[in-house]
Order: sequence, then C-alpha cells, then structure tokens
Amino acid sequence: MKSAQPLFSKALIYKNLLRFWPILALYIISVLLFGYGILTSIPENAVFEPDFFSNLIYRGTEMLVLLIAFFSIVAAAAVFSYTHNAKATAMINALPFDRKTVFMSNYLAGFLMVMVPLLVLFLCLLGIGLGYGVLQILPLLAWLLVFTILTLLLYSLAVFIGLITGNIIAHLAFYGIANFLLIGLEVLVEGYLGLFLYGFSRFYSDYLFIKATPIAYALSLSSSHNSLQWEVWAAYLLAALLLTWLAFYLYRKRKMENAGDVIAIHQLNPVFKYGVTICSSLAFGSILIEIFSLDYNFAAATGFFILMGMVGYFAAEMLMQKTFRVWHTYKGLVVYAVLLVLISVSVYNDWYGYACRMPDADKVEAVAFSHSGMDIHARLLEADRRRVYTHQIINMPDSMALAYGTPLNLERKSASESYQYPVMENLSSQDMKSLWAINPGIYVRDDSIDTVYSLHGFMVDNIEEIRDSYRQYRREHASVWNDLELRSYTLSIMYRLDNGKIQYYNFPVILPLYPEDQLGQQVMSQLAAIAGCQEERSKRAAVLDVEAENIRYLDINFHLHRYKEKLEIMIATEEGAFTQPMTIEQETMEIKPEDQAAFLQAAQADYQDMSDYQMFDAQYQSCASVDMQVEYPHLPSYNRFRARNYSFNLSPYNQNVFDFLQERSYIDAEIIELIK
Amino acid sequence: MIEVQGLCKTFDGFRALNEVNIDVPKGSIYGIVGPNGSGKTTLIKHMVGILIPDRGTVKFEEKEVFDNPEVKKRIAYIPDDIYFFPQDNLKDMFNFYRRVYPEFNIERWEKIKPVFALDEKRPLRRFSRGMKKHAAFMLSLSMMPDVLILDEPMDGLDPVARRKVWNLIFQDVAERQATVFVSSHNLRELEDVCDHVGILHKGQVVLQRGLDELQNNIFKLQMGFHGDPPDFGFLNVLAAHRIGSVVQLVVRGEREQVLQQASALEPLMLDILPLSLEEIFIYELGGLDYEISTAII
Repeated sequence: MKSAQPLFSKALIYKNLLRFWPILALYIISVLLFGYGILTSIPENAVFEPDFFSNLIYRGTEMLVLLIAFFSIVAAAAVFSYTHNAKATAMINALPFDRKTVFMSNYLAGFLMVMVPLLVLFLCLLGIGLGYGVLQILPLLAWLLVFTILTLLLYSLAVFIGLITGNIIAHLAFYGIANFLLIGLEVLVEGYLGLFLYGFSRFYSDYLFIKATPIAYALSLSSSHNSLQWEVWAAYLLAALLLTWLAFYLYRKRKMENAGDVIAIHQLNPVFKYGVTICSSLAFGSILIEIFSLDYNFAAATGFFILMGMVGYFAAEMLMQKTFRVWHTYKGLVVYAVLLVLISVSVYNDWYGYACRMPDADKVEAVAFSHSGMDIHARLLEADRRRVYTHQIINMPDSMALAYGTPLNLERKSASESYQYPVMENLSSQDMKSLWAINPGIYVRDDSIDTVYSLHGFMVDNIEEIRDSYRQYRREHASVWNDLELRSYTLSIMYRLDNGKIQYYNFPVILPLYPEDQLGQQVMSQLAAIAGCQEERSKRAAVLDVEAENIRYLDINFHLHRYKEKLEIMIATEEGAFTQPMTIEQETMEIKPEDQAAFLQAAQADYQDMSDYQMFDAQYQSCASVDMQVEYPHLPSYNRFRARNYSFNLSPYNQNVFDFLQERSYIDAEIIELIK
Repeated sequence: MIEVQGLCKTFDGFRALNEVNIDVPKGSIYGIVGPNGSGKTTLIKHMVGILIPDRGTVKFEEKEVFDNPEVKKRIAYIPDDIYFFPQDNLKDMFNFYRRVYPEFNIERWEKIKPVFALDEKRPLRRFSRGMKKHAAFMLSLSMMPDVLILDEPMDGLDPVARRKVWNLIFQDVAERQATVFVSSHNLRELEDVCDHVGILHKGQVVLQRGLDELQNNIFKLQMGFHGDPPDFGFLNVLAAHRIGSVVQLVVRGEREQVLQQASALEPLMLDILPLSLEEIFIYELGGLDYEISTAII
C-alpha cells in the first residue's frame, strides 16, 4: 500500500527557482519598469478626482497583458522543459516522488515565477496610491484579482499545452495558436462561408469569440475597467482550474517515452492531423483563391482547398512520424477531400436553407436596412448592450447629450489636453429607442417594417434565381464596380425582435441600372419603396431641422469630377483613344448665413417631393456633399456634443435645392445642366 | 526482492516487451543481456518507475514500483545516457540529491569523493561521458540504495575505473545486502560479477538462471572417432563442428548424464569443456535467428 505523499516537494520547487531565476528576475525588472512608467505618467500638478486611482492602475494594461502572456509561456516552458527531453524525463521520473508531487512542484514553481512579479507590481501601485494619498483599496484588490485570474489562466493554458506536446518549439507555437484559436477559426470559417454560402453574414459574430480569447478581452481592460464583467472573469477562473486539472490528469497518464514527439498524447494525433489539415486548407486555400481571383469558380476554389488541405495533412503526418515517407497515409486525406467536397456542395447550394430564414413578422420590434452593406448605424439596434458611435447623430436629445457629453474629469493639465468622456454604451431602453426614432435607416413604424419584411420575403421566395444570377454576374464580370451598366448592392437587413435578439440577413445582388427582367424590376421597386417610405423621409428631414442662428458653417462641395470623367470618356471614344488622363475638379462654396435656413428648408422639401425611386437612386447619384456644423449654445462649452458635424449628399433629384442655389446665384445654369 | 510479472510494452505498434517475467533475489547481482533492441533499457525504465506498463507489474518487496516514492527512494538508477541539469556542477547535484533522497549519506559521499577525484565546481556538461558516469556512481552510492539498477554502467569507463566501481558495488552487496540489476553487452565482465543472468530477446526473456546453474547446463563436448562420427540425435545438440576426426558439440543437459551418454559412443577421446557466458549467449540466441554467420558478408 502506498503511503500518502506530499502535494509538492520543496526540493523540486527550490531547484526550479534556482535553475530559472533569470526568468523571475527579468519579469520583476519588467514590472518595476512598468510601475515606474505609471508613476512618471502622473503630472506634477495633477488634480486627483475620485476615479483617478482606478484609472491610473489600468494605464498601460495592454503592455501588462502582453507581459503576462509572454512570461506565462516562458515559465511553463522552463519548468516543464524536461518533459520534452527523453533523458531529462527519465531522470526526473526516477526520483522518489509520485507523479502528482512532481507535477504540482513544477506547476507551483512556475506559478511562483509569474505571480511574484504581479505581487511586486501590486505593492508598487499600493505605494503610489499611499504616496499620493489617492489609494482606493477595492479597485486595487479588483485589479489584483483580475490579473491574478489572467495569469493563472494563461499559465495553466501554457502548462496544459506543454503536456500535450513533447517538443519545445511545438509548445511555444501551440500556445500562440491556442490563445487565438477561436478567433482564428472564426476568421477561417467565415472566409469559407463568405465564399460559398450565399447570404452569409458576419456582421455580428465577433462578440463571443472575443470573450473566449482572454488576451484579446483583457487588452480592452484599460477602457472597460469601470464596468468589469465579473461573470467573464469567473468563467476564466473556472477555465484556469479546469486546465490545471486537465494538465495534471495528462501528466499522470503521460507516456514519458513520447518526449520529443510533436504530439505526446498519441490519442490526440487525429485531432492534430485533421486540425492542421482544415486550417491549412482554409487559410492557404483562401489565399490562393484570392491570388488567382477564383472567388466565384466553385470547382477551382474547392480544388485549391483540397490541395492546401493535402499540404497540411502530409505536413502533420511528417511532424508526427518524423519522416518524409508518409505518402502511404493518404486514405485519411481521401476521406477529408470527399467530406470537404460534400460540405462545399451542400453549402454552395444552401441545402440547409440558410438564406431562406426569416423572423416571425409579429415579433419584430425594429429593423435596420441598407442596400450598401450594414453600417455602424445598425448597431443602434442593440445599443443597450453595445458601444454606440455617435459621430453623425446630430439631433441627439439633450438628456443624452448631457449624460454622455459631460467629461468624467473637468480638470485638464493644459488647454490642449482633451477631456475624457464617458463611453456611450449599454444605454437604457428609453435612450436606445430615442436614438432609433431619429436615425434614418432604422425603422420602428409598422408600415416601414412591413415594407422591409416584404422585400425580405420576396428575396427568400426567389432565392435560387437571385443567387444564381448574382454568381453568374460575378463570374462574367471581373469587376462589377467599373461596369457602368451594372450596380452592385448588398441588401442588409437587421431585425431586433421583441425579446431583444438580433437577427441579421445579407443578400448581395447585382442588377443592371435599368433592369428589364421582372425579377430585377421587382427588386428595384421594393428598394424604392423602402427608401421612400414616410418614416425615412421624415427622419431625413428632421435631421436638418436646426435653428439657423446655431449653424456655424454650411458648405457645399460639388463633385464635378464625376461629370468631367464622363465627358472625357465620351470625347475619347469619338477619337478612338481611351488613355486620355482624367482631371478631377472640386468646387467648394459656402452658403451665406442669411441663406442657410432657406437652404435647409429646400433640402427638407426635396425629401418630401422626390419619388420613391428618386429617394433610392439619389444615394447613387451624388453630385455634391453638404458639410455643416451646428452649435448648441445651451450646452456647456466642455460638452462634446455642443458642436456637432453633419454631412449629407445632394443628387440631381434635389430640385428645390438647385432651384434655390440658382435663384440665389450660387451656381449658374451651366453647372445645373452639367449635373442634370 | 524484485519481481517482474507479465510485463508488456508497445511503442507505436512495436512490441518492445512481451510477457517479461523476471525474479531478482535480494543481495544478488543480476545481469540482463540481450542484443541491441531486445528491450533491456525499456525493461529497466519500467523497473525504476519511469514508464507506465501496458500490462504486467514491477514489484519491489511486494510493492509496486510505479508512482511509489517509498519504493523509489530505495532505488538508485544509472542510465546509459546520463542527464544532469545543464548548468549544474557536481556540488549542485549533490545538494539536490541530498534534499531529495532521505537516506543520502554525506559521510559516504565524502569518502567516495577522493576515489574519483572529480572537480566539484566544474559544470557537469563539460564532463566526459566517463566522468559523468563517475559522478553518477558517486551520487548513487551515496544514496545508500537497497537496489542499484544500472543500464550499461561501464560504457565509457576505463579499466581502472571499472574496477573501482565494481569494488564499491561489491562492498554494498556484501555489507548491506544491496541488490544489483545490471544490463551490459560486456559478457566477460558480467561473467565475473553476476550470480544471476537473464537473456532478453525480442522483448522476451528466453533464459533466466543462476550463472553456475547456467554454466552447468550447457557444455562443449570434444570427441574423436575413427571414420564418420555416429548419430548424436539422442543428445540436445545446439551446435556441431567437425575438424577431421574431431567433433565439437555444444550440448545442453545435465553434465553427468551427457557425459555418460557420450561415453557410450566409445569415442577415441572425450573432453567436456565449460562455455563462457559469451558462448552461451551466442549459442542460445543462435537458435533464435541470431546467428553470427548472418552478419558475414
């Protein structure tokens, strides 16, 4: 019977620290320099606001996260380096310890190497806080807890990876890969689906993967430390404990004779082999497809995926078997190729009905629509759980302007130093809905939602025809963008349902400028109906509903180059030469203060007078852009929303605007004629 | 003392050990011999608890060796290819082993040091292969082990050093009833030191006996006859060689019985010669597709 053995051996821990002290020393020096950097970042005449200390301790978080990630793998690789060397493995495992003691001793020695510097930094920050009399112990303890969890997680991951492999280079490489595995796989799979799956949307898929990538998530701590998501950190702690247990389990079961092998746990060989095969297939296959511009050639693209999969497959076999003679293992590759072809065919033909999904119309609370791909505005649909980008919300309600436009700290070192403002995220339901109510492209009225839903239904009903037509255009026209007879649209529809869930749909479509077939005409007609719906018109007009005396400037930039280009091409055609250089002209004019109110009224009138089709087509017929800045004097001078910039485009359909400009002699008949 | 039962080990489909059974009596010096790749080092790594057996057990006084520190602290292991921490010198390793092995005897260490006269401050990585072996013996013998497991221990040692090492080992066996398990290709040396021998071939123990018993069980018979020699079918002949009227036979069996049977053939002359361990090894393995002749090209 075996007697109870100690959890760790002091002799082994001491030996590890004695052998690898330079790592500990280097890490301590690094954090001391880091602490010194924080200290020197405090201005001499700093005014210490309540949050000063909690902001201070998260300064340079990005560097600290990278230090933790780097030293975690260095420490783990050092203390478990013997597992990569057959002679060293034999020596350590012949010592009078059981495997539990050996594992725990090495694990704890490495953990000490990564924790001691963190505690040193903690003491530095404590000293700074006490020295300046700004110490906030709770935020500091929270800081220590967060970075201890991160250290534990990254170190445990490094140890776990080290016990999967028996090779030091593979240990370092796998650690890097494991840290960004999910994000990497997401990119690869999205690239594949984007190529083969019509209607695939990736607009909102990055949320979970960032959280599942602790380094990426922790890098954002400097901006998000005020609202730490403890459930995420608790999950990281659990993951760290699970990885530690898994590493311990692997160590107890590890066959020490596998030291030196790329994969020391031979049961994982298929995972490694097919993992490398899939990654190589998708990553290098996509690169080749891009290089040879074979995006819409299904057979060739699939061929490249298989070819690159073959490279990865045999490379993995060579690494595992430590020989170049691996061709006899081709059977697995054949299975992979067959599966890849099957999956690709099913995805390409959408056997799963991905593009035919639709939400229940009765459950739609709001919808964002765009025919040029979803822009940042659509994120307003989930402003209650995301960051909001406010750069074009000119008619923001005062309550929000005050809440999010007032600086966190009113004191500045100098006039040139910018204020720090609260992050506009996780808005209340009321604030979010007030933003929906003023933003064009977001619809909350039933008739508007029905119009968008109707287009969606039409797309779904005719999905095969639309998909085939799109692919055919892409195959036949190398660059749709340069084709004057065609126009490429990306119909993006994002629904917010009653339960708060977001559903996003994406339909790339290529249509002639003036479609002759019934399908094209119907799509155009529905697009026009959305662009011309009353909600859209009234929102666009409302944006321009500003007091004239608050306008700081209002400028028009004419895009005359657009017309110049056309003229020159025509001339060149008559002369039989196409290489004549094009000149770009741009003419800026300022609307006089006394005309500004009338100008904006004319623009508002245009939004009511234009037909549905003109409202739609106006976005493709831009001939000028209008830039304006409006000041809201009732807001304090330090409020970031006191002065707001806004720009919108003019098209030949802005009849009232051009009549006004001609009437007030801003432009002459020649320019009007050119534009028309 | 050490009991290996039904030990099996496979490396990537290659069966390195196949139902190995070995019994090493306390206080004995057990030599394990076998051709390259026969599984000697794999067997030894199981005996010191480095490798996990696929099947079977290795026990030391009825206790499993694997993952059992109570047993392992009584075992000193010297591998063929010795590893020391790269930056360590002999003093560092002494300090490490002193902390790890509870029975480490500093007094003995001090006594052994002059025997090998190694520079304690010199990094061990700068030592020659032989010097590393010296260092390993110094450390191992200072652990006061009950069992010494040695894998090709004398490779790289000069004759004087070999003698020194064996003397120290004999002293341990004589004074403390230490048990020694040693693998070697040097059969002449094993013959001088071992009292038990096992032959390992293709992962299986093909022979395991006391050396005396072994040497009393296989002989070289030298006989002379007029004309053609008679049929020797009634003898267990392992090899036969004829030079003129003289026939040399390697025969297995009881010495007296074989002598009696051979005398019955009325040879002109009859001589019975003992075989060296090396000859036994060659003849035993000769029947297992391991003849020397196959190596002649």
